[in-house]
Amino acid sequence: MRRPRRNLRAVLQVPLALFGLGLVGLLAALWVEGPMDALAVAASASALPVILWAVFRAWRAPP
Amino acid sequence: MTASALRRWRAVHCWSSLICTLFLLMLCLTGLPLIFHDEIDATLNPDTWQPAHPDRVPLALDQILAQAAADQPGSVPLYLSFDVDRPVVNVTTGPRADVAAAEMHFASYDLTSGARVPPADVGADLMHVILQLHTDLFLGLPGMWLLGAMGLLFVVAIVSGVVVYVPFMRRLPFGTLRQRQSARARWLDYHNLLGVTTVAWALVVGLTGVINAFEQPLLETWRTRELGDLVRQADGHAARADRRASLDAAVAAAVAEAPNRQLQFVAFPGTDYSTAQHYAIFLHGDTPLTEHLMTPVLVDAHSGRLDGLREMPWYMKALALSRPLHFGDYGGVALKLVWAVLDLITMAVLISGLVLWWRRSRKEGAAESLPARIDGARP
Repeated sequence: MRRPRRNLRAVLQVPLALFGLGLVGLLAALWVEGPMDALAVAASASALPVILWAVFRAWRAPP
Repeated sequence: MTASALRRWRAVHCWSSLICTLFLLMLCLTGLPLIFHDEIDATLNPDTWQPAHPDRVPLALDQILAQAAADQPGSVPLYLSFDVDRPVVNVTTGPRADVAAAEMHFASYDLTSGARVPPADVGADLMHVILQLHTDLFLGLPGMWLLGAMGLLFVVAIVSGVVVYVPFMRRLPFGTLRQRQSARARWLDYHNLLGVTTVAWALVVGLTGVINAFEQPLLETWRTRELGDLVRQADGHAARADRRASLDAAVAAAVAEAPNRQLQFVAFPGTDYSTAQHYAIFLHGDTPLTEHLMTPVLVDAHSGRLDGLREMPWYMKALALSRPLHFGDYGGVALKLVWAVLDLITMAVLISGLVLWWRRSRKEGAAESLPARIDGARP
């Protein structure tokens, strides 16, 4: 059975959130210092846990 | 989106990626050690050097220049820069002011004694080769422009990739990896996931790489537009190296003109960063952002007259900010590690794209040759 088509917003909401978070993190790390810098670096690395989550989910998926 | 529009976007994504892929793989590969160049330098050159007189007032810059001139007879000073974490001044000299980088001579001096600081250059040759490959492929300006063009194609590939991603993912939830389907579906899912999650980083590094690649024309524009009046005044009046005003007085005047800024480097008359008759004294800010932004103060090298502070135009500020944003060296080791992982992921996206194109072209080739084989098999 084919899955229903999703609208543009549904398709792009996660990629756009990652894009925004990554971009804000990259620019904020240029701007801030101290503990806020660590937060900015974590935001710029926001893609990494999402990739790990997808790989883990695919690995655990039933055959 | 119509089917024909989608086909066009796919063609744009396919060809823009294919043309730049090998260059980008080389850039990712050479970029990896460049991210950690400070750590590599520190490991290969353990810093055992100590200043001769740590408590003494630093020597005058004019004294250091005299020492550098004595060490390199017949040469002229080109640039003066300062180490951040130790009292060391670096003097670049050359036979002429407009000399190519390969003919420049670099020496470091202890600001407390004027003695030469031993060069920390173990592994420098290898890092230099890697940097040259990364910036201009040893081709000079044409190489920089070629890599800049490849960077622009990379940006086109990213934008068209996102456009193509949308209709493809309409029936699949975000992050789907179809592990139990065909190998092509697996490659495509990894390509889509890794590509779309790293769009922000790839765009920032791609665009800042393009800006860096066009450094020379930007510098030339800055010199002719922003320093144009001073360059015209200087025509035929190049400041002679043996009749120059005190550099210390020039630096003091520049720092007084721009409070809250610190001395970063000095460009001597005739170099790329100055005019034929000025000391260009570059100061940087003292906040995390403004420390990347430089402001030149121009001082007549003959009379010592302060000719004014020239704020950098927007394109030079973009160039200054594009360097840290490209190399990821502005947020400590944690950011460098993030940069390295994202660099490796970009390589995976490039390789998976290449595999997808190869498999698709083989499949299409097989489909095209099938009727011929069937025809040939007929009695």
